Amino acid sequence: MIDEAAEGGRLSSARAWFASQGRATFDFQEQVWRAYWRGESGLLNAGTGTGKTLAAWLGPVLETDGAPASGLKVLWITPLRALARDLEKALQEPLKALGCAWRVEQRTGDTSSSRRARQRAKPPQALITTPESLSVLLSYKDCRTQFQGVHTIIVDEWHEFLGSKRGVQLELALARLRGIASGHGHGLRIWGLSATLPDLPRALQTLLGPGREGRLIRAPQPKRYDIDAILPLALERFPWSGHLGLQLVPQVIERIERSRSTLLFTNTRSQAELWYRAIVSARMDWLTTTAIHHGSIDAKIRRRVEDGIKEGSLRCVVCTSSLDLGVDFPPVDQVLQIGSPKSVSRLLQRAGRSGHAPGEISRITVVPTHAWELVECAAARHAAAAMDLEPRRGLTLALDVLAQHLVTLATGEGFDAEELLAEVRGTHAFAMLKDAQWSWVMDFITRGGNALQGYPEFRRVALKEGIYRIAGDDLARRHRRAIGTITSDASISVKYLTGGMLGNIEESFVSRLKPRDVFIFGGRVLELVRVRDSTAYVRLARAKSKYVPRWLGTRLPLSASLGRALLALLDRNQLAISDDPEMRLMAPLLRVQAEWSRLPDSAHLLIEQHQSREGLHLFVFPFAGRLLNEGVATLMCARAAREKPLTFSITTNEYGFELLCEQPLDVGEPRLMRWASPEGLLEDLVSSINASELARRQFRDIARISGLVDPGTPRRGKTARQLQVSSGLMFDVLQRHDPHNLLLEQASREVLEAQLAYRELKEVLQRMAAQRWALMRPPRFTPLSFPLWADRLQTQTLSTESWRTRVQREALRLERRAC
Amino acid sequence: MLAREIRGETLLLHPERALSWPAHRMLVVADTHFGKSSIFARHGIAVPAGTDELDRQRINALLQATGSERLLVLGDFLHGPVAPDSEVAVQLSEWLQRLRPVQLLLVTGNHDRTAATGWHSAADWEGDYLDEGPFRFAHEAAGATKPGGAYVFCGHIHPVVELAAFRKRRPRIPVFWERPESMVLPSFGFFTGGFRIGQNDGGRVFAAGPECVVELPWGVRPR
Repeated sequence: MIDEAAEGGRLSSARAWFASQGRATFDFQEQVWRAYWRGESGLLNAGTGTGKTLAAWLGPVLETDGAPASGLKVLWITPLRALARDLEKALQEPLKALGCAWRVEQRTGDTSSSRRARQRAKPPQALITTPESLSVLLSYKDCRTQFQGVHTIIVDEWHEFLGSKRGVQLELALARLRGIASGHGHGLRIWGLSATLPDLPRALQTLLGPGREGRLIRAPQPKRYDIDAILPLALERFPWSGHLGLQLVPQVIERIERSRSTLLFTNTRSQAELWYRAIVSARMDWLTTTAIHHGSIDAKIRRRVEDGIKEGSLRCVVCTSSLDLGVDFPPVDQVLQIGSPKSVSRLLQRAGRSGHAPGEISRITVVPTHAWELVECAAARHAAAAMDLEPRRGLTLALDVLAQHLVTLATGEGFDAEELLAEVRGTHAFAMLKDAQWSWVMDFITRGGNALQGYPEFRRVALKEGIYRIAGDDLARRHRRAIGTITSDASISVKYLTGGMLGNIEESFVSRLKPRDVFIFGGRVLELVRVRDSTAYVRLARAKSKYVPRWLGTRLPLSASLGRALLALLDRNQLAISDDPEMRLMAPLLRVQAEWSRLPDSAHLLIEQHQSREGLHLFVFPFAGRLLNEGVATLMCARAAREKPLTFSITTNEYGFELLCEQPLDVGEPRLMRWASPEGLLEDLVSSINASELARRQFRDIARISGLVDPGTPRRGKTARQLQVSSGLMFDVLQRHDPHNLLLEQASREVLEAQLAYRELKEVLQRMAAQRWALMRPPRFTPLSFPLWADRLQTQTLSTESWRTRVQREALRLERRAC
Repeated sequence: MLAREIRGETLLLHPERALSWPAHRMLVVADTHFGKSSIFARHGIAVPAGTDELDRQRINALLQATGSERLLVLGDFLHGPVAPDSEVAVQLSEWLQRLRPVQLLLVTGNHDRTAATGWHSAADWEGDYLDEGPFRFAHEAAGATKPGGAYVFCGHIHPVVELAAFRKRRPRIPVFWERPESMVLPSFGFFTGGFRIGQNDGGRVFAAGPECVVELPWGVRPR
């Protein structure tokens, strides 16, 4: 607690320091400081570049009142280790002037072991770290001594953690730190920093745990966003995905030329590689001022690129979500987005990378890779104006993360089961944890699971004198190594023969290459020389590349908010009240769509049926995003097949899906409606999951997190080699020999919730049921159905070249019809 | 099952990932990796028991169906060291007892070498290879094939082919991989993974299972 006078004193030193920087404090910053000094926890809603870092940081700094301190006091959690370095600088900046003798350091997966040792011996007062590194710190025997003085935790970019397993891991670690703090007679203040979410009170509750009080403070959001698109000179009326983007290279180059510093965002790492090559081949003179930045590129190179942006020495950086977050890049004055924005909040986040000073306008320009993305861009603009953003909810009952956490604590100081259960139930993620689930997880880590009585040799965690501890040093080492690998896949490092690290590629890509194969990576054309000890040795190649690496990153689907906005835009367009330039350009395409079939709108569900030599094509357009469209399609097929043995091939995109049936089939509206009915959804979904491979794929992460699959080691010893197994194989074995394993159940549940998005899927089906169904029979493919047809063809035909020719021919044919 | 004529002999490829040589009343399997799940358990990885037992039952059924008098395992019989008094060793010994009069022949694989410190079965180890008729049976093809020499049957690689026709699922199917001088058998153990081979690797591939053996035309993969 604090008296008025002390509070006033601190406030005036803060104001004085701000004034010395030529700035003034914001109201929301002072609100946060006051609440903090009164011992409160809370959530601050503020965008990047608004001064949120200082809002969170000066509370603890000024509270020291200049008194010296030893030991760790504040933990600063960041989602990306790439941000740690800049944060370190930003946090150090005000210390001296404010008379605070604290040291600020970072501890991430990149921190060297000597530095780590130094930190343990002489800890800084503030430590910047990631959830994974925090877990690793909890896995050391002396973690209580290290953390006993910690009174404050700042969780930066909390919205990034929400809804992910890292968020769950963090919730558990926070609960542990709260336990340690109260064990030493003081409280723990937790402050989250978050971008705008539709449901902030819930985000706050998830951070603090159910039933805990916290303050929600919102920074004013006057920041304006400008969203536009590069308009192609002419628009094909029969768009097919992927090919349009690179045609816009000249316009993109012109844009880059016009501005000082450009960030060019792509949706995938492969796309980033392609665009980087395209730009530097067109402008060889930009070779030294153009760079590429994505999550697989070596940390040192990434850092050089980030420095280059900050200094303003780079004209253009092609990047992925690796640059979505965090630090300011003041010189950046233009942001381009290649392809669909997918989600409104992400588009705004990327837009926020330009015009980073408070009050400035953030601008982003979408570079469409096919015509419909123009509509998406216009729709995103409307959704952003209405602040209709995507919600995020915290995950619950992730037993794999719980199992990992328990082993982490057992590796550290050990735990008492009863005490820990209460602590775990204090988190949002495990508030509803059942006794049976808890004992299953305990069995899993102590005996290997219920079915394992047959293995007396099993050892992982054992009870000694009432405390659960890890059963051996080798297990402890392996577990620590596994903690950090939650998010990454088995990867192979890419190195020059002459030395020099380039980054990491997924093993599955490298295993498909042979020596002398040429591929693009990190913007360079490389030739594979050999693969040895998890390293791919390469040299620069003269030949033209054949391959672009594919990374298994998650592909974000079009969000529900954006889908809604898209239909709303089409409604407005039909009423001729839309004045978006994108829509004017789309007019010819929309006209053909309207003439041959009809335009989709929010009141109608558009279905197109078309008979061709290939069979019966059924195109359905719920505009629900790829994931949910696939869910609806799978469900309809499963139900159709139950009535009559039929084989469908399914193709989905962000707007709809195609069901192609080679057998003759008569589908009327009643039948279709039966197949797409929201009734009996759960049962039918579950039975179709079993038939499909979704759960098996979902098991990959679960197996790694729960310790069922050993992460690859840089140098694989004999033992490590003996323990190599794929998660798919593990899944098959469990399903056959331990079908009641709760982790299998979790895989199915995650498929339901995350992959099939059961709740959202139900909403889509309900919406479809409420819509009027417009079953059209166009004589040929329409601008909406054509891209689906082309996508399917791509998966079926042998080579890209013959696919391209066929699609072009078909597009021309349709184009002639449309004249 | 599917019959192949090789060097004038008829060999049968079984969907259960085994090969039989009816004229010599011999059943051949590769890479059983017995004891694998127990080694995982010892290292804190919770694999359920039962995979060994399932594999033994599969062998029993195959022996009966083919009427074989000899069982040849092409190396990697064991996954790693097995303690003599462990459950894995006890169960294996019992099974070998019951196997009689079928004779067990083993060639040594790389995993068997690392397992040499532990329990050793009473079976007849043939060393690195076994020659019979026009054939040589070994664990690895490398070093065993020579031009004009015996045709080699081996294991070690655990060959699988990924079927791209299924797009995202890409199921992996264990295959018999036939080349001019050798044939690689799929791994027999239920709890064993696979190494993907592709069109560029040459040869012909015969997919094992689930119900029959079929030759896969190369070119099913677009790559």
